Amino acid sequence: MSDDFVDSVRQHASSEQKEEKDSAKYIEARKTWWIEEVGKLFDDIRTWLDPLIQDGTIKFDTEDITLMEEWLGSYTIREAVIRLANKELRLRPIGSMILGSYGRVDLMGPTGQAIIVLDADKAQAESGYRPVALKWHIVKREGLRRSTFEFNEATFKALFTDLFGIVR
Amino acid sequence: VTFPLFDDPQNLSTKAVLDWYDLLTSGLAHEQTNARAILRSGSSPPSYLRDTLIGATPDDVDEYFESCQLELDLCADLLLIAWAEARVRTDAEKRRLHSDVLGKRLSLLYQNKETLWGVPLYEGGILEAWKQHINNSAQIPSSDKSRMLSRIGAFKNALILRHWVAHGRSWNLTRALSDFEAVTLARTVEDLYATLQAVTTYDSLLGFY
Repeated sequence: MSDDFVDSVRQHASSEQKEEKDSAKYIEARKTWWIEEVGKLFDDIRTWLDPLIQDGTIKFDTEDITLMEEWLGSYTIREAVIRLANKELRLRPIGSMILGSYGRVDLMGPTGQAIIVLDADKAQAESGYRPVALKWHIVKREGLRRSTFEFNEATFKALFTDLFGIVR
Repeated sequence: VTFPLFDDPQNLSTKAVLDWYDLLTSGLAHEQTNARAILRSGSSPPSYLRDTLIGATPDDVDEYFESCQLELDLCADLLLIAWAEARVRTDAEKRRLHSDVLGKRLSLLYQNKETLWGVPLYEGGILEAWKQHINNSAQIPSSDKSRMLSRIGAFKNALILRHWVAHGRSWNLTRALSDFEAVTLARTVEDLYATLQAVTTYDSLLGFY
């Protein structure tokens, strides 16, 4: 058996093992990061709705749900429920393996649905395998095309009124 | 030298349609693999995928490409059926001028018709004339007759799809779309051509167009 052959197989095995280790680290980091980002999103929304929560006009609760994603596997994450009178708006995390983004939350209200996605830069070892530079966007479908708009307090409030069917 | 999509669009062959279909099927499979790789790597998708699939889960991506494949099958089906219809009609227009039994039978269909397209293709029309000819033929062995009639009947089922697609799908199709994969339909039209050709051979008629 030539030394070249032995060296190349060893080198390949070592590279595969490193890739597997990196991949496992990345999966765990990605999952933790995603769960945290959804938590932060709900915190922001709760802050934006605080006056209505404080005076009892609406209720804001979260509950655990289990998601099963290809590659990330099964995990527990929070879902938010906003109750207004006898109607509710659910903010349900759909997953982090999403095309063109790093996560998706669906807003399901009495009069319709909306999608928001989390944009970020690709995770690197230097960032602890966590995606960076985050920004939530609303995905809007126009015909066959989909475009994105910034998700912030103002656009969330517009979505809130649309999805509860509130006429302003 | 040019590379047109179909060398001779007025004489479309089943093979030409299937070659085109295979090329586009490979393209779809390639794009589906690409979209799944992008999902996993977190890379930025090209604009044509982003505009259509931003926010899609892996299951959404698969479902989207399955629907693309289904639409591609319907397009190929329509090409194959429309071309088969044209071929059967063109053959009948020539054959009705001949004085053999089938020619005379077809000739009756064209009487008092203002347009050639006014002659029905199936019910009370050209393919019914072929079926009657098969039933009455003394030359065609009985063992072949039922196979021939069932192949013509299979094409009739394909016409259900042709009407549904060509008329805007405004009613519920009674058959499953999975029954109409392009490859299956290609076999149906080729069987039809072979059947009509075989009839002409048995009865020494003008060869099928």
